[in-house]
Amino acid sequence: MRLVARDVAYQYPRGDHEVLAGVSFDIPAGTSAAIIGPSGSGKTTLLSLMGHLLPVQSGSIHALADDGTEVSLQQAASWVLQTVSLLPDRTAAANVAVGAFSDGASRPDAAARSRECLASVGLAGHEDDPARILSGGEAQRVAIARALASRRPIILADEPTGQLDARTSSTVLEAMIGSHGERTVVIVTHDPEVAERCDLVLELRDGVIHERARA
Amino acid sequence: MSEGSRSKKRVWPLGLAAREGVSTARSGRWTSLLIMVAVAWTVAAGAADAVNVTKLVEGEKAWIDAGGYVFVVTGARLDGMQNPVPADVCDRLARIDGIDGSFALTRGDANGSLSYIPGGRASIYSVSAGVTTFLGVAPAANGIVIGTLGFAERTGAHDGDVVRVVQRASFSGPAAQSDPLTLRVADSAVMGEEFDGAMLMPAQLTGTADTCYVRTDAAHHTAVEAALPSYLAYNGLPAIPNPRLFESDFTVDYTHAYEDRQLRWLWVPCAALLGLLWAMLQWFRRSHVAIYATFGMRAAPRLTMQAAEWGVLAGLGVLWGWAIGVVGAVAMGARVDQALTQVTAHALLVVMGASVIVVLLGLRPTGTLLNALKDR
Repeated sequence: MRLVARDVAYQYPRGDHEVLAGVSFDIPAGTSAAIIGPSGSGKTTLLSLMGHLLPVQSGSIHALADDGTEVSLQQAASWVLQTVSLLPDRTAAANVAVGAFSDGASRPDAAARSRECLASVGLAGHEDDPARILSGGEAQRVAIARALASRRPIILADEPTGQLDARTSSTVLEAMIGSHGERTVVIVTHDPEVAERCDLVLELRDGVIHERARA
Repeated sequence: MSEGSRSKKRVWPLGLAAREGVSTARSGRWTSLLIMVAVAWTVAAGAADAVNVTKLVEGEKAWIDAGGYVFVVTGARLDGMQNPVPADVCDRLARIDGIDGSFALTRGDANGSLSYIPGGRASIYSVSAGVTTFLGVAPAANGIVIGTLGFAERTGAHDGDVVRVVQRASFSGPAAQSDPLTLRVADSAVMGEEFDGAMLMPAQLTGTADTCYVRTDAAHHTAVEAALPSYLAYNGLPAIPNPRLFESDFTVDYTHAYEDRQLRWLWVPCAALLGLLWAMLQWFRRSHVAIYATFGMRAAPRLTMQAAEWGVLAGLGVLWGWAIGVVGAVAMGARVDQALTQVTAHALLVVMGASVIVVLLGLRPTGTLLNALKDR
């Protein structure tokens, strides 16, 4: 699924300048893109606009299916947030199953997907662990597995590897980005190594995108 | 996955949402225990009402035995003279719906004794036939004379004794001995203390009598009181009904005591308390609800999920609380039937009231995880 932004501008009501000033990008279907930039550069604001949490004041952001029809980003995108949000009393597998259920999976299918997705983020064998006993990094990986289990064509992630070590981070990125063309992934990150793994790097500076295509 | 295949799948069917709610209830540990305990204790609180109702029932029974719901009807006073009441009409009042006993009584100077206890002289009142139903004494083929408890105690006579009554129309008048009669001993407290120690002679009262005693019940009390003046009017003057017991005799007005009891509404604060507790739980768990909302759960399955969790916890809590309530009420002196009735009714009202709040809370719109981004 393709993500297209055209001349998106945004200024907070009490702000004295535009956080985003004419942001445009075109992320082809099945590619991964990293949004980087210094703190306060508007990365999270851009993510909020994608999730329709903030109204687009000018310009537009669209998700386009292969046939060019527009699809609701809220329905097509799965989110991985910096703040880990799990159901603490449920098991890791039950948390991941919530993502599968959102795709209409049956209970057996959801259970199978949970095992598969937990394994893909390096948590095989932790299916029955209650979420409340997981470490911060493990919990973040469960949240990523949940997003993967939803099988939505777009993943929007806000600092998904912030709590992970380098090795685990690599495993998780591999699971998220997957093979080329599987899904469209947008990652907001401060980590240059994460950005290196993506097909596109969108650098936000002074409210404007500076796009760098990678080989 | 194509959009076409996605749209064909049914996301969060209600059965799945219900199972998710049950799973949440099972895995909830302390929160689930807290809700169950709260439900149990608010349901068990119905024991207080059961004890209260039992006390009211017992108090009302004592009140009835003492003359509650009894009217003493006399004729109107005119020129310093008191009118009589029609005796036959008084006796027939018991046939009217809402009146379960009535009899006429005529006072006089008559007195007498039992032939074999000449010293046991007592006042004798003539009463109409309705007295047997009113006082609950059995008739006898040879006729009866009613001795009050005080009379029986003083003379040593027993219920069922066959006696002859030596009767005088006045204290020093000539004596006349009756045919053999069966003595019936009855508690005359319902008529008033002044009759204790006397004898009541059922007779075919025709014409008029001094007083008519009428017994009704809580449901008909007001209507009967309103109708008696015309029923027992004499010479066009309405009769005057007076309650046998005034409220001041008993501190509780049993006519309205059941409806007016404050514990009748105990279920309201109990249900509100549970609703508040559930609201607080949902507030603390708002991020959990947001997780489901983020992954496509809409209002109907969300409500189903929360209702299922509430149903499991409330169901277990009610069973627990109902048992505690019934046993506790009986232990505190409530009658078993009152304990069962009141605790069950209280439990149903509490759960239904709280369930309304649960449903209303479940219908509130909720945010998604993305709302957390707003605060950054």
